[in-house]
Amino acid sequence: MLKKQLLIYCLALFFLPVRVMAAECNAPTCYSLISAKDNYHLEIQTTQTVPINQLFSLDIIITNSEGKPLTSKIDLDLDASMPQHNHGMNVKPVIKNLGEGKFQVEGMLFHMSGAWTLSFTITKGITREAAQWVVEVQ
Amino acid sequence: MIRHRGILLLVIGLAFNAHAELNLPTTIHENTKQTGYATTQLATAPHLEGVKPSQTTTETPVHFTVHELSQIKHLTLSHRLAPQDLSNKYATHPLAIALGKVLFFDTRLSSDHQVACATCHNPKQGWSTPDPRISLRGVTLKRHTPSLWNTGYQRWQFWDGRADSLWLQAIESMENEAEMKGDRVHAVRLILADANLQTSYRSIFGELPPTLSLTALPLRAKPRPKQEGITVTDETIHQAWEQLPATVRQDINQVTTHLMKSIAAFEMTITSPPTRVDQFIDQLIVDQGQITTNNSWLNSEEQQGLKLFVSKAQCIQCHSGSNFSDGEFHRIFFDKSPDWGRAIGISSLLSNPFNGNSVYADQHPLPNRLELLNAVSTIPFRAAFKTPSLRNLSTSAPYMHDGRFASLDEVIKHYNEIQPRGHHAEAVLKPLGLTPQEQEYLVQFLQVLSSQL
Repeated sequence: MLKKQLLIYCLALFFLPVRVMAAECNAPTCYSLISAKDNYHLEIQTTQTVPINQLFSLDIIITNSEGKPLTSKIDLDLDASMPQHNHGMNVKPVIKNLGEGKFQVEGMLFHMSGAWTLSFTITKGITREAAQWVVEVQ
Repeated sequence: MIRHRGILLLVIGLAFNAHAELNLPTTIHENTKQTGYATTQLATAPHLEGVKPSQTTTETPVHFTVHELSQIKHLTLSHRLAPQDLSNKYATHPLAIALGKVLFFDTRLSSDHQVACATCHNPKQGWSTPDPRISLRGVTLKRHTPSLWNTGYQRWQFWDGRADSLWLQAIESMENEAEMKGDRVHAVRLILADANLQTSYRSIFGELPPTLSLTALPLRAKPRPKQEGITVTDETIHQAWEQLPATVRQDINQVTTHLMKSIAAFEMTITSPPTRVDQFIDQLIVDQGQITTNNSWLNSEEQQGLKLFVSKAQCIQCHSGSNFSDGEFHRIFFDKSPDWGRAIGISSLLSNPFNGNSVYADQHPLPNRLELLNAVSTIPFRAAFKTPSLRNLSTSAPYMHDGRFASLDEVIKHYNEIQPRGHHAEAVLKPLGLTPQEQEYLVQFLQVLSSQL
């Protein structure tokens, strides 16, 4: 039974599209992610601990998987949802591409407490790659 | 190979999970800060003077978990600042507040001099009306009048949020043919004709534009409404507006905006005082989550109600923060309602020439306003309505956007037996399974939010 559970967990991890990396920057206002196919490293800086029902912004720096600056132009899309509630944000954030893999996201609003999943989509040419960040808001 | 990789990933995954948990926002340091803040507030806050603890002493204190406390601490008024509206630079102007109060109770703002703001927002009825849906001139409105208690803290106005400021809300209600049946030219003419009002206006906003005079303006004029649900009875009113020169229309809009900003300034003063709930929470924070013998602000039943509010009943999911409202929109009824609520409210707001991105807002760009106007219109917003504040709710029955429930017992019964339908329903809406006793505790707690100190 235990073996079976272990196997399921291993398989789940193997197929898990996104992994949350240990923070190299200083939490609770800085987070690091690796994208689904390991091609990008995202460093997400917030101005404060993600608040409940207050607007907040994100500064995002995207580098390659080795943490080096990108040589190609990329674009970023971001949405957030509450899977346990079956809905997302009531506002659409404004994303500014500052170049060199730097993005500023304004107008984020988590109006309810609980687990929020931020879904990032990085676009380079015709290729897309996802990254996710799950944050518990209290 | 797969097996080895799986075990490796298991180890890595566990490590990641551990770090991820560490990375999650913690409230421990916040609790510490809040405790210090609350202590200061408790020692100096003038609202504590004269406050009487609950007559019933706490016999069986409940225990609040750390998670419950982290939510409860946001409910107290001690953290609340005065309401702000950066789009209205007159929001705290004393003379604007005074003028706004006069206009709020003045039926002359309606074209037939029958309806004032206070007709529906009656201060003696919790700034609302006891009618589920008020009838004006023989026509019943489709929604219950929202209470104005703490309305200055709401980021959206109306049940459907079709206004992003109180002054826009005032314009909308004034010009709505089903409500005040007024118009902007009629409002300007009121100022031009009344010497006292004109003096007040000049002292706040300066001279009236020279293009505006009683002889130059038609009796009534306003643009054709774009919003649904607004009935138009007289086409000549719109024709009169279209015949006015653009500069005159702009001057009329500016003066109208000034008048409505003064009403908004008055409405922002309608804030509820602290209750026994606030005192209980403040003391709870001081005592680091323990209910001590000093803390008899809530009796045992009311404490049980508070615990249910943040736990089993899950009211806190939407009724959060010091206003007991997340200020956002939720669908809680699943009958076939013809009222689309927020789904229509968004489009109305975005197309409104007086919204927060308009030239009539006093700060450009408004911090945070641009993002708020990027509201997302999605199917889940259909028949969704704004979460009302629960403060002073005992004075503003009946309840819900259409006033369908006469009592708090009925409201709780609804949530206790709720059966959401459709794949867009909020997944957290489930039958609560509260016992009759628990429902009674919850009602007792909610009633304390209207307690007089």
